[in-house]
Amino acid sequence: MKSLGHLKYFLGIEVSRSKEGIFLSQQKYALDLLKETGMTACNPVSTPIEENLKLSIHPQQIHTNKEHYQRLVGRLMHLAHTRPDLAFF
Amino acid sequence: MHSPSEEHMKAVTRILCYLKSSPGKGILFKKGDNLKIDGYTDADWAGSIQDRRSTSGYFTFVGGNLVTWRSKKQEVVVRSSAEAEYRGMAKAICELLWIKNLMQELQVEQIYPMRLYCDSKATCDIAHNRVQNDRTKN
Repeated sequence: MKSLGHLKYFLGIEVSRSKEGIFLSQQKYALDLLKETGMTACNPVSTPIEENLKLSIHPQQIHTNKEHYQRLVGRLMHLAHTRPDLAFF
Repeated sequence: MHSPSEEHMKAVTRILCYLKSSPGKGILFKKGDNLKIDGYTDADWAGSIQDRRSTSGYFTFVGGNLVTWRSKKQEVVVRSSAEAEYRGMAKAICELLWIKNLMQELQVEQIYPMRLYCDSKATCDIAHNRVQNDRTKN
């Protein structure tokens, strides 16, 4: 068995060590997601959800691309590994 | 999830805009002098306008570092906010016990009692069994 030194990158999770402690993030994954969805130029907002937003399903609503939506949700769920602020989703 | 609408997509887009403001956020694990286990819970009573089910969540700390968290819609309809909170509390206690057992298995001695925090006075009272059971029925 061979030691590969300190862990830096594993399964898309970046690991960095400092005096303060060990920091885990998925910055590359987040930036790739923004690039892929063409959101790199969007207006940043400070909260992840609109206040008092209630989502529901009713017959009159306009449907969106299901596959695209599910893929995005899946990617956000993966991102939630190091982002508890997205756990409500 | 089966028939997402434009509204749902808008919510996802909102999250992406939020992500844009903070792509580098993550979790920091700091070295501490103890390995106290703490848990925090909260619930949103009847939050779903579709089926009136509640959502509850918890997060747990070991030695001041966040280790696990969950936010999940409950599987039954409850009739009071205290009940929603109490069910959330039960889920959090399961998680705390799991962490405790895991640490025991890893031979990490736990000298402090585990603490669970909840912002509902009524629910804390029920947990302490300070109120009559009848009163919790509505």
